Amino acid sequence: MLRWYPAAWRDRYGEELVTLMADQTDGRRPPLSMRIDVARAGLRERRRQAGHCGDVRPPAERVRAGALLVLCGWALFVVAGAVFQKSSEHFASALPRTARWPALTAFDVVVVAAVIGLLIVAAGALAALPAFVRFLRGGGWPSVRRLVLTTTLSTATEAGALGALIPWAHSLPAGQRNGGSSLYTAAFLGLALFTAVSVALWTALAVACARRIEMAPRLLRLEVGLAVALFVLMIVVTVSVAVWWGSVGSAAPWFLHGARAGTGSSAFDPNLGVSLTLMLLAVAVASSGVTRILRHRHVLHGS
Amino acid sequence: MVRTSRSDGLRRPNDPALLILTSLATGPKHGHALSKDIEDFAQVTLGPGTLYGAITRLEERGLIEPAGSDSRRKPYRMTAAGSAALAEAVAELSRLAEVGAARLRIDGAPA
Repeated sequence: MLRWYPAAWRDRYGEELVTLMADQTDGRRPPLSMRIDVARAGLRERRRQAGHCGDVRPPAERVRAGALLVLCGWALFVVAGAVFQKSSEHFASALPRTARWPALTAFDVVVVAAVIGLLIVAAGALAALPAFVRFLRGGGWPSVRRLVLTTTLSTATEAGALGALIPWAHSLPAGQRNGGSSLYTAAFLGLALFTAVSVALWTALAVACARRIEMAPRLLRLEVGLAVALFVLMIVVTVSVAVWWGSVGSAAPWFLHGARAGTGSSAFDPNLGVSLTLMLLAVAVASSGVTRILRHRHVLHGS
Repeated sequence: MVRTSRSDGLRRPNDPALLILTSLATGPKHGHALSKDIEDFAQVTLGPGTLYGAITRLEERGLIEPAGSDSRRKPYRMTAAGSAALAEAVAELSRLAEVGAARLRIDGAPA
């Protein structure tokens, strides 16, 4: 149960907490309500230690934590975007010519915003690179080595799996690729899951490094600005995806089910539902980061 | 540094931090004794995670401190800052209770 807590907290209070739990349960297995209480408190402690809530960290670190929370939201957004991309493949040809422009415009906005978002993330990483090099030269490598190796291994494995899947996909007819072959579908879903894990690992690595490097006030201001811009883009993309769904759903609902033109009237698509839900969740995560930034923005003006 | 009750989150009568400080007002106690005492006087059951979350924050703010002795059941006691914060919170809650009681009498509503 103590695994829910950060290591430093466990060292200080872990034994006392275990003793209290044993006292309250007379040494028996803790009930579910107690386990939930401990897990919730442990996660809250982790968030406090990371500067995501509470005031245990200095204001500048809380601002940095806010920016990193936006990055975590973006990572979730990338996964949601991949689901949307898959669901929207070849949509334009399914729409009647007169009803194309709203969906096409919304889709173009999504694509442009996604590219700008990637550039923003790359700019943030590049700006932090000198500080990261100083961190490594200062002996920081051992603290991130395990995560770097895990992330590299995961990405290399994913790239290998992708390299094997692409020729296979090209050798299959469209029907087989789109649910006809259960083996291919399983492999595709496995790769998608692997990709999500890799995105999560890269994000964890970025957060671990960003929390450890020395961030000069100017760099912090830049990173915060980029984070806020990323947040705005996420809102733009989410709205655009909703508009795209609405447009395609009203003009060509059959496309959303992969059915023949003119058949079916329901605009609901479970994949799009998952995508939009993930996007909204990502926006919620990022908005809590932006709230944290705004709450402590005086640090940025004062430095 | 003594903080105001507002910043310590001691405004709600069922706030775990306020309940812990109230319990420690009668002397040092370890986790289980605190939990039992709070259950007795406030009829509130604090889970171990909630209790130690509040203990962590109170200790960080210097409102309580370990009282030494047994390592497995470490007792805590209130500091002077904790005593001041509790007094302020109690005064604030009393003022609120007085206003509530007075308004109930004015409106003629049953207590």
